[in-house]
Amino acid sequence: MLEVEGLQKRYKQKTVLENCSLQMKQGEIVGLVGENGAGKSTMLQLLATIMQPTKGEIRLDGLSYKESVKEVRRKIGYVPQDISIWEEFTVEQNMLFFERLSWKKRTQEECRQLCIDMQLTHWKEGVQSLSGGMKRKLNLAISLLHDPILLLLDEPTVGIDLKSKTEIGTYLHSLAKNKGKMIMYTSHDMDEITNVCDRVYSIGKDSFYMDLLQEKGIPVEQLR
Amino acid sequence: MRWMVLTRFRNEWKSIVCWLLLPIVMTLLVMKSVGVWQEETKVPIALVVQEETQLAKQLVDEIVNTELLHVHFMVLDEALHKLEQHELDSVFVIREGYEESVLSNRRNQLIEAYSSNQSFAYQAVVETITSLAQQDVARSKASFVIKQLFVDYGRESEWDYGEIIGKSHERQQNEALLRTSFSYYDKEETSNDSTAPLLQVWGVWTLFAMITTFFLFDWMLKENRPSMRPRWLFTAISFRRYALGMLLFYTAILFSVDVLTAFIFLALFDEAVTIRILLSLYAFRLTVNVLAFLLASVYRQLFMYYVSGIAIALFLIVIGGAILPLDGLMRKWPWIELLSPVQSLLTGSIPIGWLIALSTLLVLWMWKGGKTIA
Ligand SMILES: Nc1ncnc2c1ncn2[C@@H]1O[C@H](COP(=O)(O)OP(=O)(O)OP(=O)(O)O)[C@@H](O)[C@H]1O
Ligand SMILES: [Mg+2]
Repeated sequence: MLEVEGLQKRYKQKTVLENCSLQMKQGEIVGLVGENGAGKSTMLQLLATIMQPTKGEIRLDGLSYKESVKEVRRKIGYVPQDISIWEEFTVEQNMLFFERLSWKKRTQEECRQLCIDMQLTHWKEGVQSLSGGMKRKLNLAISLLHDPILLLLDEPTVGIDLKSKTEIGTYLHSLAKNKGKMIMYTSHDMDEITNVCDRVYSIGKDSFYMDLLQEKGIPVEQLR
Repeated sequence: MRWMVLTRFRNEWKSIVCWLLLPIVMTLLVMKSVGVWQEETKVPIALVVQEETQLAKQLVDEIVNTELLHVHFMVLDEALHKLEQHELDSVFVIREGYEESVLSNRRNQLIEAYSSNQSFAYQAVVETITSLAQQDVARSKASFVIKQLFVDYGRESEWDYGEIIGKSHERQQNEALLRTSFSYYDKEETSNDSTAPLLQVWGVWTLFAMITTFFLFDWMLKENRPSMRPRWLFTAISFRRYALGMLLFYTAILFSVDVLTAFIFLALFDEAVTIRILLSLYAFRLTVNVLAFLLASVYRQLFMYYVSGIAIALFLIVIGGAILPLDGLMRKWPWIELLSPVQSLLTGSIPIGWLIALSTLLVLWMWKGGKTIA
């Protein structure tokens, strides 16, 4: 259970998020939409403990972000918008590197299975020669190594083909429905959002996305 | 500790091993090429020894030990033949009766010399050899006078030439020792000021060792590149702990290689290996590693880090006097040697100032690192 109350984020003079409140339950996939610069990444970074809000409360499974950041982090899997993997290593080396640093110990076979689960099969291949879609999948797989309960994905499917997008969508769906993970993710692809998400938060003053998604018959709430 | 040994090191062990061995290999190459070059610039002369007395033998030894001469022994005919062929610069003959002439203080024509129209170094060589012979004459003259005094006072039996000449030799050597530029571990190279080596083995090694260390510590930047920073929040081991572990790990590995280097230098260059030297080497290693570590923690860009690393290494080498002995500078400002951990290594001491300063900065880094990561 994720609870957010009265969240505000201000960069110097600019206020990006103002009085945002939201909840998430286990097994839910929630979309986060909004125009460029609306504050989607900012919201995810706040939820991922990478930044601190200027105001407001966040609790994950009853743990306060302010009081117990260390414990909270163990429960979070964050996928950065910019691909965050070792370019100079292979898929295997990337996975094993982070497995060794992780809270959860996994065998090499388990790491490999994690990649296979999302159709990332180039185990021995160098990251540099991977396609964009494969890199995105690896970016996601690394964040899942410690088996987090809250997954925060910042545009995990940007710039990849429909097939990979669908594979990632299917995988996220199975994580939420079979393993009870809470997943929040951002995307500019409204078809993808409607296909994968249970409901959506729209950030920003603009009601463009809100109207668009409501037409498609998916529950949307406006955040400002 | 399993995570540490197996992470980046495992993926890049081949290149890391190459980096580890580079200082030894480069030092050997440099020393070898300098050695060849020195050999080539030596003046080839022939020495024809026709007398087998103590004094003649001594003179021969002194000539052979003169750094810039390459001495061949042969009979006169062969020597003159080679001189004609210009294979030799000049030929010197220590004739029968050398000792007698010296003892009786006849200094003319002690040695016969031959040269050709292409004997470029002839004058210099003649001067060198004459001065060596003159020393013998002077020494024996002194002992002759002293002996005469003893004879006059009727105590002839208590002294003999050999002893006096020997003593005189000893004293001269000691004086020569005092005039040498600073030396590393005091080996025989220093017993003669004209043979102070152009390059010291450890001096050359420190240059390559420092540059290599800076290159090896680039993992600090690679591992902590901005795009990877979010990852370090979601690991059981914080970047700070990981970095400290790697620092320890690299120090252990590099010091093992350093010890190996010391023994290789012992075998090849007769450089001494003592506990003191190993301690000094360890202190040097710690200093350089922590320096590289802290430097890497300041930079964002690999290129700038490498450039500053090389610059710092060169600077420390120069003020440390490893490549060009800065005798004059040292005498003027003796504190300058405190500025370089290289100097500490070359003199077998410990750079306490550096170690204190660097450990303070390291503690600050740990403390600050703990604060900045939210
Ligand atoms: N570190 C920062 N300092 C100052 N302003 C920032 C900072 N990070 C983001 N902003 C500003 O905050 C606003 C929201 O940025 P954010 O990255 O959250 O938007 P976004 O919704 O993720 O956009 P996009 O769709 O382009 O990814 C932007 O106007 C941006 O300029
Ligand atoms: Mg964004």
